[in-house]
Amino acid sequence: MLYTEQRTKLISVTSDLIANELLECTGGMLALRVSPDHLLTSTFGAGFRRWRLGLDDFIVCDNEGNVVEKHEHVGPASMLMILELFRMFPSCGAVLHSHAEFSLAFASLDRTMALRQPDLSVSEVPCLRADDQNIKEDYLRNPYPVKVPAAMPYRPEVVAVSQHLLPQLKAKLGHRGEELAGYGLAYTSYRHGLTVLASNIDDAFDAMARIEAQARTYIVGASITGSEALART
Amino acid sequence: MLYTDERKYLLGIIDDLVKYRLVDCTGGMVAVRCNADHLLFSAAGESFRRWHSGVDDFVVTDNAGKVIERHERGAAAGFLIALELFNQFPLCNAVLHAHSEYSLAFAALDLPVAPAAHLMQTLGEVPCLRAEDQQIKDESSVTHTRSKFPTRWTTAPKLWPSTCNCVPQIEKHFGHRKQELERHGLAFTTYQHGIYVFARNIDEAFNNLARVEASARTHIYSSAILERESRESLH
Repeated sequence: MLYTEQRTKLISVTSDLIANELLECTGGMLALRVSPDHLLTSTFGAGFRRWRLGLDDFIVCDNEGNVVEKHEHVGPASMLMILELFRMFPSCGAVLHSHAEFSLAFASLDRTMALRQPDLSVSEVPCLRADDQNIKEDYLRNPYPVKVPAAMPYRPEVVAVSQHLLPQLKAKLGHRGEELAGYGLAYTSYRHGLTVLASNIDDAFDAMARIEAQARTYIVGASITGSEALART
Repeated sequence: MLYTDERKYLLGIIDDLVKYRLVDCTGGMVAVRCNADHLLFSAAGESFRRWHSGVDDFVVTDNAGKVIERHERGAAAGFLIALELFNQFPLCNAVLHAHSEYSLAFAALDLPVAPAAHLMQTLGEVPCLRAEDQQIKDESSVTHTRSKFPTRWTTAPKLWPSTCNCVPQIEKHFGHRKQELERHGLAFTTYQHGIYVFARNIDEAFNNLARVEASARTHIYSSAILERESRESLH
């Protein structure tokens, strides 16, 4: 089995994501660049299986999405986006995707989040928008040729959605690659969830935790500032 | 003891429901169809015992609700609705009931949970079933219902009429959606009570419960964001 140490690390990170309420069982994904040629990702349906991961619950693919090592399950449906992130940002070493609860609320409203970093600089977490349902239905009514990476489920309609997101990804994050040396980069997908990329998985975890904390603070703060009791003081 | 494998699997499900904060200690139930003749339900009072369940904390019944095997306690309060779901929906093999925190807020307001994110799109809107007659907890109703109730069922009788009143609404809301169970589960809340999810298997029911709860939570948080934005735009 290839990359057992990295698999073990990702299992540990998954446990910590759950323990810190950053990952739930409606979906999510972890991916690592394990060598210049290989990526290691969690598999399709890992959330459905409630993240009970073993060492063989990962897939190794090359930078084009061809399978290098696979066990029972294929890679995640978002494989095209993952491949593009690693391709677009050579210093990106890890990608995390989650339906983390507070940032999902911002994503459901198509809101860009202003993220205050530890050095007090502010960076944006943009929301990429694609009308998933209509794109998928349009594709299934009138299919057109798309290349589905072998490492993901054969879901050409999902690839069609990714193709709508990729130009936005390039426009909104393509010029910000140097931020990967700092606190990482992140974006949300409309009505879907949060994706974080960083130079390594620990930095990606940290970035996700900080984004969620700030989203939570805004939302919980809304309850405080809107309370009548506080307004009377 | 009948169905030990199924009991152990449900214990794992209960652990995960607690871990992912989908069930709390105020109530809930897990149930599966073991075969064509037998159903397996978690026992009454498991939530009071903070879900420290063991293999004997289940009840086996037939499809009419007659007890086949029980140990200390009878079935949980959601038993009657689950029994109805198993009987009305041949494709339903698992039922989950919980007082999950965010969907309960919608149930308390008699509001459906609409999809707030793509993850909920396949399930569609989750309706709130409400007993129309608020006098249903009168003693007369209790007496009437008690006479129809499966034998040796031990949950508080006051819950029976309100439960029974939801049953016709299940047919109204989901009778025409039976075939959807081939692809995904279905869900509803009951007014001021909690959520029920039913599906082909218990893993799908769990996943669909998580999706409804995430959607309800996202609506609530989104509403807070919009309110704050509105307030701040006034200043």
